[in-house]
Amino acid sequence: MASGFRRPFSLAFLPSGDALISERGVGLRLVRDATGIRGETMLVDAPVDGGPPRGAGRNGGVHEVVVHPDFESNGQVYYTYNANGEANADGQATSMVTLARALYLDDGRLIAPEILFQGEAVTGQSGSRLSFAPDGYLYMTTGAPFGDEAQSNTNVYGKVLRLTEDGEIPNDNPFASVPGARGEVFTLGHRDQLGLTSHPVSGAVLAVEHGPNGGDEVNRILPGRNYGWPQFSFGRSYEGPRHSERPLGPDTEQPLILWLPSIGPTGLTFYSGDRIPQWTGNLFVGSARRGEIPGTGGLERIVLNDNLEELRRESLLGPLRARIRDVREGPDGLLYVITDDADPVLLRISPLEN
Amino acid sequence: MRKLLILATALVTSGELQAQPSELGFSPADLSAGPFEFETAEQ
Repeated sequence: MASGFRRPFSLAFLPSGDALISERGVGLRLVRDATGIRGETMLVDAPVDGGPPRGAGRNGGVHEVVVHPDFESNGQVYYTYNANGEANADGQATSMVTLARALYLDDGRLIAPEILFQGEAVTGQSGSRLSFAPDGYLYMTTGAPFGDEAQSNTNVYGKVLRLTEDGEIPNDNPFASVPGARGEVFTLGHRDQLGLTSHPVSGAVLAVEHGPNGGDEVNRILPGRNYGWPQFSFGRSYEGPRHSERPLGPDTEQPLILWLPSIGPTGLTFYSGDRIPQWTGNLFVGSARRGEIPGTGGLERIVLNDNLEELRRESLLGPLRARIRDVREGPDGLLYVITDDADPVLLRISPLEN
Repeated sequence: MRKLLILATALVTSGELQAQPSELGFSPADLSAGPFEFETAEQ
């Protein structure tokens, strides 16, 4: 059994069964035989050479890592990080959300890194996620700073962005031709979205978003729509009062799924495998903690109909008292989660019948 | 419909506690001690 994790946040399987794991703010680590199929699972001690730069501050540095859908032929790895910026006029540290791509070599190195996209320098931003959707575009979440930036299309924060695989702006993005707007913006009005996925059949893009204190939600990402933050939320402030008088505005897109109280959602995936056939097509969401109580995280399983409407849900893994940070399907058709907190681990979820 | 039994197996661990129960506000489980068996709801 390998050891040595620090703040794992994102899990990206390679076709070989190895995996890249981001350690938030620090770098990428390689896990050999991450599914355990060869009984030789090993976490490589050194960070991946050629990976993202180390960050500064609470949310600086690397967050997300994914591989290109054609990784087997092109070897491309994509990752996001908050690059260190200059101090602002008030002397506060700033950072810029950044998307980069590099080429993975079989010996575990990354070479030829290139920045594909970078946002404005801001204070107080959070994490980001990526998903290659069946429409061929790369979707990216960005965290909202403490102001009302999420409501403006002139910056990239508190948004879902839509990019080509080279980081360019697709012509049919909703604000691509709007003067003064950031053409990368696909949707507005988000808080911290720490999970992003695409439906394997319909191609629907879903993001999971933290409310302030309750009001966590899964949203279907539709072009040009506004999801309300910070004007509207189902959540409350951490002192107790409602965040907004009404949870939705007249033009606010409603969430598909809602949690009251909060579950601290982090990581989102559709299970498309057949090793656990009872779960095929279900949506899984990692939970860091419930109702602001430490030690209460787990894994949410949600059954949806063909219209992505919720039919029922179930909470799993609660007795582990784990703070789940990501959930992904492995190349072997099983589910994997990573946790942080006291004892960060990579866990494999398998049916006992097997 | 019937209940499903699943196993959660740690493949990689931190190797050491990175925060103490007093800092966490709870006593963490030893996740390396598994595999852990769970019975789900009816599927």
